[in-house]
Amino acid sequence: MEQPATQPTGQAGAPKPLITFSNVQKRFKEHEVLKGISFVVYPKSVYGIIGPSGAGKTTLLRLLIGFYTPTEGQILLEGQEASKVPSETIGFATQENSFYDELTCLENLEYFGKLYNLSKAEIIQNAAANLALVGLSEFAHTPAKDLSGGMKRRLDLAISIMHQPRLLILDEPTAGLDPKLRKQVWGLIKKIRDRGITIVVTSHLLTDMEHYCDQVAIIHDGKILEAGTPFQLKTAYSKHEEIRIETAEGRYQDLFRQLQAERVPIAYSRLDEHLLIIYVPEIENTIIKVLDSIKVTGQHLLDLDVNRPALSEVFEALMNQQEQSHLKEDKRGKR
Amino acid sequence: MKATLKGLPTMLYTIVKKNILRIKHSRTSMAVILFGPIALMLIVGLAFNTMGLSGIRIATYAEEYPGFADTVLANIEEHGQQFSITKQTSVEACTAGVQNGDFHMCLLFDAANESVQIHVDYSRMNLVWTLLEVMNSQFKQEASMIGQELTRGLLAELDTTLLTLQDNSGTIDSLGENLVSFQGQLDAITQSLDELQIATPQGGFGDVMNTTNDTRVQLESSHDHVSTSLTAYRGRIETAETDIQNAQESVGAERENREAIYESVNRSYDAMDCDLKNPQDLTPLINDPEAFELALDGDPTPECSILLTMKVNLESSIEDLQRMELHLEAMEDEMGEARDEIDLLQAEADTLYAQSSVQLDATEQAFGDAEAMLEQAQNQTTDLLERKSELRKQLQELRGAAGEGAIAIAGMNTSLATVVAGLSEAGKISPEQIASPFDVSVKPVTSKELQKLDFLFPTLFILVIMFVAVMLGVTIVNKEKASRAHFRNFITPTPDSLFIVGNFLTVMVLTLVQVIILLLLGLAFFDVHVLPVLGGLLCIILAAVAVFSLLGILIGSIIANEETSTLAGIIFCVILFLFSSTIVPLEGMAEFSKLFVQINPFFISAELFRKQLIFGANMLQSPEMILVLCIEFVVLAVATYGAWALIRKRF
Repeated sequence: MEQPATQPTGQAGAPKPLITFSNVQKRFKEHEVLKGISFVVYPKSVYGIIGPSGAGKTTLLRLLIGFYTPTEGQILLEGQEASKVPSETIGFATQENSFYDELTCLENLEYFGKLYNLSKAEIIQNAAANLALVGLSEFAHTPAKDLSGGMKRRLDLAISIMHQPRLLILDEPTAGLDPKLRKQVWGLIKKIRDRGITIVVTSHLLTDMEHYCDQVAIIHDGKILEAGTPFQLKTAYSKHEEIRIETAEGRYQDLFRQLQAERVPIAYSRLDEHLLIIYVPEIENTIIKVLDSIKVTGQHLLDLDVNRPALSEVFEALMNQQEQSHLKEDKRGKR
Repeated sequence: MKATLKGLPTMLYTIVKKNILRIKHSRTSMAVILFGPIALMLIVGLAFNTMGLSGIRIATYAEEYPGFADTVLANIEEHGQQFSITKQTSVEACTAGVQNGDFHMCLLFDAANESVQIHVDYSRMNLVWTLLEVMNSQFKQEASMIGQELTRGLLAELDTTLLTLQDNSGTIDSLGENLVSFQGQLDAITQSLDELQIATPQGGFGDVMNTTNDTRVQLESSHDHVSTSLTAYRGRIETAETDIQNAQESVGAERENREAIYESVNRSYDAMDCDLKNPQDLTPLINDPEAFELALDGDPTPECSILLTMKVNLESSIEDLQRMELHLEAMEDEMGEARDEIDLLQAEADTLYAQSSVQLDATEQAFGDAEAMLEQAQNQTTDLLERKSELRKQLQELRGAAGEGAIAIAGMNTSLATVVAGLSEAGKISPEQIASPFDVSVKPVTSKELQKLDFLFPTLFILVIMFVAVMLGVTIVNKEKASRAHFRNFITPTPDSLFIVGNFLTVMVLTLVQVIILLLLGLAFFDVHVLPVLGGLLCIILAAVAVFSLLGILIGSIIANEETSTLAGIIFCVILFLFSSTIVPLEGMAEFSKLFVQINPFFISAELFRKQLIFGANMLQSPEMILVLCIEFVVLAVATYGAWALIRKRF
């Protein structure tokens, strides 16, 4: 799903940004959570915000929905201050399912539709459409508590867009889901985006973000370290190729030993659910050795994917930069 | 898509519907809400349907059981299975049995003092008063019987007294007469005393003493004056005497001189014989005619005549001088006499003065003594008058006392007659009447025929709806807070106030469902007449439910932790219940507690409900209570709105 930036900036005739963060700061008493954040989000795109826990992602989203107001700086949504934008403009879904477990799917949709002051007809129509969109039409009268994890997540998304917002904010929408369900959710997000809804999403799953986001911003310690399309970031920061290997047996430890025996120059590797991901300086010789190693270890290849350097690598690089920068600052401070 | 006024009712309906659906889908919650009150009323109704007691175990102990103990214990045992009596061997065993719960009460009899001590476990408040009531009635019955016996003895003594009084009534009469006579005697004495004239001697000897002093002064002055005068006179006499002596000497010298001259003349005369020629006195010559002729016819010579004249003149002057000397002698004598007289006068004056002084001294002494005696007499008279006055006063008091005594005796006589009459009447009253002069029966202040438990219904009813409303309020808010959807509510355009009202209405609706159930059960298990006062009751119920619902919502909103807020709701209800005059009467509380009770919504609601249901009193008859409920509703509503903002802040 590698793709270039969907909204080239600085070109004539480029669409107006839907969201503009200008040097936004947010302090809670003495604690400064956001330290001068600036970025723009264009309409009908998926904008990913990546960052470790405590980086300020949730605060940023709450500023966006107008739940908080910035201490300094400005947030514009469709050209208006975010806090003054009608709440109907925005849909929001947290990492936990925000609906009533005791109510049925339809009752939840109706309830929140009514809270957005939708007419009865709109409620009926939107509920049916959204249930169909998330594939829960059959479960309209099933209590939410009886749904599976993936269904609940889908229901949550359906509720979030019940009032047809122009902006959907998703806070860790795939947290706690298995890869299959994650894929479903991301597919759903894509469908929603295809309906013309701009999506701002946070996640710590960098691979997903890389695959499904049009643009990403890497946030750390209340500051945006880098922003752009995944491609732009990877090109700027990566020195390695990424090879994603999936075998039927999943004996990745044996495979890794064999690759080392074959003297494959692995810069670093990681396990991601059912995949073994390795990073290497060049791809051509390595592929042959990978295939040989799978054969030698007696496994059957299910999937082999070769990527440009992953976003995670960019992220790690940026994190390292930050750490080194902090160390330097500390040393200067001590001197 | 802003929330419009038109859309508010449907929004509220949606919120309420959602809350109810959540409870409906939770079968346990639904069961508790629906069957909780039913179970409660059923249990209370069945358990307290009878107000009798059974299985009561009584321990007794006495070193020696008094006479009344057997009767009382026998009466208690007559209740059959209700009471069982066990005699203990010591006081400790008896009281310890109550402490351990083996017995419900311990009776300690004391034969010496004819008394009984009842030991109960006051921690079992609900049972203690009922047991004590039963025991009291038993002991009261026995005490009444003993009282009747004692009364009979008393009446017999009264008869004897009556006879004695009647016998002695004559004595009191004569005592009265004696007092009247005594009063007469006192009057006579008083009169005699009044007639006794005692005059205080007036005046004194001051003037006399002054006069005496004046006299003494005058006397001294006169004496001095006389003495001075006499001395002056004496001086003058002595001067006169000196003058007289000087005159005598001059006259004597003159006379001698003249006598010498005369002699000389005479001799000349004689020598010239002139004597015959110039008689000088013819008278002796009358008888001698010759001499006489010669004297007449003689021719005296001029010398003789001169001599004779001289002689005659000398003789005359000598004679004058002699007379003068005589006069002077006489004068000198007189002067001497005068001086003597003056001396005599002086002596007399001195004597008189001395005598007068002595007399004046004696007079003064006499008057001084008289003055002292007069003063003594005056003092004695004054004392006598005071004693007379005192005596009169005492006599009057004695008379007054005698009069009062007479009146008292008259009153005593009347009282005695009344006592006698009363005793006569008392003798006719039966001992039973005296021992139990009147019957006491307790009647409810309502014309309705209600059972004891029926009076409990209003308090029980409000208690149930208080717990239901508060706990439902707490639960609804807790469920909302615990729900993941809660945050989504906040980011919708629906205002917070609508959620509060929605929750409030949900609690109201659910509580009112309970109310209907309770009222129906009340009709079934309690003999309460709800229908005639249904309108008033519903108003009270609505007010109470509104306040309790908001209270529950407020507690749930303020306290973040679910368990803590539930616990707080229960504690709050228990506090309201305890300070409501239900367990401890309002009159027995401390002043500050009374103030709290006055604003306690549970107390107010239960009171209004009780008055309306039992007495049919309109709630508007207690406007201050309605006002307090209204104020509490407003305060709670404002506080809840504030607390909701707190919840929003916690996200």
